[in-house]
Amino acid sequence: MRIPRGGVFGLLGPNGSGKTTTIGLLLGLISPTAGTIRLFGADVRHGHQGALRRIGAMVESPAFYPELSGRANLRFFQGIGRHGGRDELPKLLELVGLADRADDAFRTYSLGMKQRLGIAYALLGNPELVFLDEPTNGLDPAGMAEVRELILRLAGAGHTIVLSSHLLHEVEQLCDDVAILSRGAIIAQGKVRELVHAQGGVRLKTTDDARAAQLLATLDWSGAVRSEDGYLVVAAPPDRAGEITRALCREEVFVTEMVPLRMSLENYFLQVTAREPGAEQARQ
Amino acid sequence: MSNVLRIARWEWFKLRQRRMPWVLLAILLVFTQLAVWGSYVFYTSTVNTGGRMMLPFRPGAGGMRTVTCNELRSNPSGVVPAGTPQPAIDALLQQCARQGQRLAGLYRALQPAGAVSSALRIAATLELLLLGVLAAANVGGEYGLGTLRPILVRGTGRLAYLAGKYLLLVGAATAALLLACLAAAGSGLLAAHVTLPPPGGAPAAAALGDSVIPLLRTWGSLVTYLTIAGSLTLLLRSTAAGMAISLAWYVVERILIGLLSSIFTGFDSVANYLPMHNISALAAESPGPAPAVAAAVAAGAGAGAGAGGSITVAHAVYVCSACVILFGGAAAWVFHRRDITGAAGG
Repeated sequence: MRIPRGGVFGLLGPNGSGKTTTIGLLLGLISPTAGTIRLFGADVRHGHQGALRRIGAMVESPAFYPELSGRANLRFFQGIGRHGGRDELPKLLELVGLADRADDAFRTYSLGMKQRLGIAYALLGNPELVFLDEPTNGLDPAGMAEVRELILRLAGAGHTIVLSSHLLHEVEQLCDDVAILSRGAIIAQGKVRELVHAQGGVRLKTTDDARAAQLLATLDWSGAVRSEDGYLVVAAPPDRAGEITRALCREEVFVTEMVPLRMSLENYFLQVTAREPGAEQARQ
Repeated sequence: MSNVLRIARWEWFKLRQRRMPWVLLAILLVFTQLAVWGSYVFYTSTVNTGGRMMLPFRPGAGGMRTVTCNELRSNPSGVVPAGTPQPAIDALLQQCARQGQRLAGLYRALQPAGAVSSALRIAATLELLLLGVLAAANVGGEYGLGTLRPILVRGTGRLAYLAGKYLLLVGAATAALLLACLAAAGSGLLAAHVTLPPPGGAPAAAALGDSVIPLLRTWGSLVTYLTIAGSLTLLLRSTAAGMAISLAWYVVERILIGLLSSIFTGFDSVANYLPMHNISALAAESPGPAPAVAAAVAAGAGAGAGAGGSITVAHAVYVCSACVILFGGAAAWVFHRRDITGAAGG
């Protein structure tokens, strides 16, 4: 798995595909049964405390001490991890919008506030790499929007965020790069735009569809051409629509209608996971 | 080591903000103070009369009346029923003399060293059980809440974290024991100041220095039990299970020893190696007399008769040390290797 520095990296996969397990393995919470894992060059099985100081993580639902205030919880985790200054806490609490409730007991927090405190926890010590596992889990739409906006702000501030989620539209909105896991293995990885656009197409009607189909089939960057409901559908990146028009015009075939067909990440995800052996059984 | 100390410090930061340790400390202090002031009330109510006893109105007749030893000593023939033979009167006077000795014992228990002795007797049972509750709650709470994950992700290191937590619990046990003893010594000082000596004159009081060895022995028993309770909770990953098993073990082992020793003649030698038996034996000896109130409180807290039996101190120290190494080692080994999951509840 290659995670580019900076930006938001999405870790996608159906339930049970191994997203949380992967994060657990990277953080040393779960022992690998085989193979080795290196994090910032340190083997996680042989002491990677130094590497962990460069990492922040919120794994699944945020776990804090209910009787301690939000501020005291952060202070505890900051102190026990030996990094980050005292002046960091007000900034973090401000960043996640909890400054007003920082001294209230954690047990009095709403689910959204708990998630935001979890993000503040993950940012203690200004880590380079931040793992957020289902950060919008259980939030209402407004809460989800707030957390997504916060994630984008963090990425903009130079953090590398690894976002594990099965909310595909969320990943599409937030992530620059993505890896799709299935049954513990990466089955697709790359830039979201490239993965999705590579699977897109263009639907068009021309003055001579039969000739157009022949011409489009000869373009080395286009895929299959098929006829559908009186239109031609060509598998090609939608942003190459101009080149399609130019190629047809050169041969005096003129486009009368053209619609780019963008594949959503959700469709792409369903397509690649459906190809996996045992996918049908897993769904059942 | 500095890492472990730092972890213990932050564990204390967390612990001190919880209500439970303070409630447990308050219970311990109330009971240790109750031992001192209960003895004081008993002593003052007895010292003015020299002790009381019940006598029949007439020899061989029904109906009883209460007479004081002071009355009996000053005018025996006027107090006892008419016709009481002299040997019976002498026996009553001897009984009064024994009450005088008991008063002297109570008086010694009201001195600082005696009060510390009472506090240690109570700590050996009550603090032991309270620490079992604290250790189980402290260790099991992390599993229940799922907070081990965010702690270990901070790069504390598993063994260092476990050592820091254990250090905190031992520190808390030590502080509570010292506090209970200091409070008892303070109360003893006050009680000694306001108490009249018994009729036969003030007996020689024990020195506070005599309490050091019993204090260390009680501390050793507390640390052993703490390790067992904490380790069991860690192995079971549950506060409720850890608490229940460690407390039940303390009680059930005594019952089983009594039962099996009466059935199998050789069971005594097996019992000599059982943890709770040795924990009790280690804490059994305290200087000075056992004041009635302290003994009653200790008995109420579960201290069975014959705690320790024929076990020597050295033997108890060896067995308790082995328990600490065995249970602590097993907990450390499992904690180091086991996968850490989310909140388990309970």
